[in-house]
Amino acid sequence: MSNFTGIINIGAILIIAVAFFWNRAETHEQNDDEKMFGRICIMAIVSALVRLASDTFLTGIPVDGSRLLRVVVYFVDDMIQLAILLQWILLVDFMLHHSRDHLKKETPPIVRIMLIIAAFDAVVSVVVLYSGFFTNLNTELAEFIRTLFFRHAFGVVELIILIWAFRKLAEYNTRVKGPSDYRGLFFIIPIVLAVVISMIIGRTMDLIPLAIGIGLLLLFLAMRKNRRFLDRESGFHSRAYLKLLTRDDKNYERAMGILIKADDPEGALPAILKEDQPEEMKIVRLNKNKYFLIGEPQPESILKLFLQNITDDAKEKGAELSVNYDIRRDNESFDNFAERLESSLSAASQP
Amino acid sequence: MKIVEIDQVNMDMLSDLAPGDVMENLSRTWYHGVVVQDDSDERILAAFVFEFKNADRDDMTTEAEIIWTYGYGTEVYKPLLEEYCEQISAQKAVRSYFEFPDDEEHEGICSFLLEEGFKTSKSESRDVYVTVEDLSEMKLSKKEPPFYIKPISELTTRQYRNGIVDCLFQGRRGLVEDLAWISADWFEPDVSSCIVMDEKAKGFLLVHKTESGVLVVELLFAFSIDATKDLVELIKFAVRAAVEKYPPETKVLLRRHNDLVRALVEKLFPGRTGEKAIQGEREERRPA
Repeated sequence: MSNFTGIINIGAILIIAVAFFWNRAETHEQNDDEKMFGRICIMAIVSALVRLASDTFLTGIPVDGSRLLRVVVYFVDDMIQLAILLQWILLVDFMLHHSRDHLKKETPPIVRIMLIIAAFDAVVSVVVLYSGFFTNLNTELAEFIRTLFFRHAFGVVELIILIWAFRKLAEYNTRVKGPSDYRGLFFIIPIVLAVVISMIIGRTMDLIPLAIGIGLLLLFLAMRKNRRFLDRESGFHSRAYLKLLTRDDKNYERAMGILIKADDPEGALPAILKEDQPEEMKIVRLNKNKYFLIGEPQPESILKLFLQNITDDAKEKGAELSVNYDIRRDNESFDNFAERLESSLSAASQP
Repeated sequence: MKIVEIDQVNMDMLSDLAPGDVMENLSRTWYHGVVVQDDSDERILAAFVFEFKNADRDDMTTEAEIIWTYGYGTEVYKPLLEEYCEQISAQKAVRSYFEFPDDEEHEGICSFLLEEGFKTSKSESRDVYVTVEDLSEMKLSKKEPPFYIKPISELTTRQYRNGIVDCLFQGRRGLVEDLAWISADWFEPDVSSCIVMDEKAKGFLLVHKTESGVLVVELLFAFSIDATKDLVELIKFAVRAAVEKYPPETKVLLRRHNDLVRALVEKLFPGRTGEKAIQGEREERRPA
């Protein structure tokens, strides 16, 4: 095993293991993001282990007698790398959009690219094994040509994927209003650095496992920070999110707030709100039966239509709603805004 | 002469005079009509049908578009316009406008409106008509539509309703001022398409078939993650469905009501232009 590969992969395994077990220790019932995060951690660890094992194993045996074995090991290694990249892309996509159907939509083209690379990899492997051209060369040269072929092809794929990820992040930053759920750039930056450094030092993609490890750790820290702003039971934002929104409110300087107080014995309202929630609206769960919806001001008639829809849907599920809404005042914090709506709703319901 | 305001109850008064495409709209929220009747025999001498635009929006000013006129002569137009002005003033409309075909039938009313302070001009109509046959000549890939593009007939009432609310929340209603209240079955169920992601409607191409059989593209809007790409899929789906369902001579109306639609029509049907038309507009007095 070369020292370089060993250090990189052992370092990656340790860092990812820290992120994985820390995540597990802090979350009993994991949400979709955390489950996906756990899966990609396991895959990244397996990938680093395979690289470590193959490197250790292949270093210890003579080159001449192990050509088939080398090719098989490299192929398996590459397939695991492909799988982890696929999982990585899907994780980024899911964390940005939280859409299962979007994952479903994005997966086939990515899988197609992966399959082309896998096929290319397999062909090169077979050529290395049986081609007269390669056997006429000395083994190290053949190995070099082979490595040049698909390591570089693989590097190009990784770069394409990075560009894709950046495009997604840029799209996300322009689409999503209010404080971002995850600072995606945190976990992309190490990978970009790794690609650049690897290329400069002439070891294409060798730093990637470590970079993925650091990226995953940063992502975990971002997820962890984010948990404070999440109501785990409903999946909506928690009250703490209002402070964040007040601090980072460029998109909601003129905001409309709707306070919903529910008599909801069956606990049906979260599901109803999730289904009826307009794309542009943020939902904050103030306490068990109180919700605060924040969005851009809407014409009275459209707002009433929306509220009528929610009220009707709630009634169907046995819940009664009391609703109050208003426009946020200049420089009013979102906390105070919610309290103002709450107190005027309570006052209105007094006999 | 007697002035009568047309509403859903008495709209049949116009059924012998107004075309079916105008009549079918008279029961809709923002469509209104005014007629001038002869005192003696209640014969209709003149009529206006108009539609309010942005009347329920706080962020935009209300306008009124005169859709259809009937009658001839200043003596009947004058009281008609007075009643029209009263009605639009009650709705706080600050601008009136119209677009009529540039033909003999509309010469009289256009001259009258010009005298009454409307600025008029002759140019190409905002409406472009193509046929289903033209649609069938569009070069579309033969691939099956993606899983997330569906006809609106496959949406549940709640999915449709929530999708429409989402469009309205984003200020988009296409040509349908009363989109909030119009039911899904007003649109062609198998040609009108939508984007469904995670069981939510995230974009629509809504097509209405008028009484005269013209297919009108009423709304084209997507707010899905890849909205621009998905819009193309919506168009492909609707084109295929229309080619399958309607005879080739069926007319399709594309109203270029904003620059985006104008650019889209130019891209889809390069060089297509509208008929000659007369457009006019007048700033109305702001109500006190």
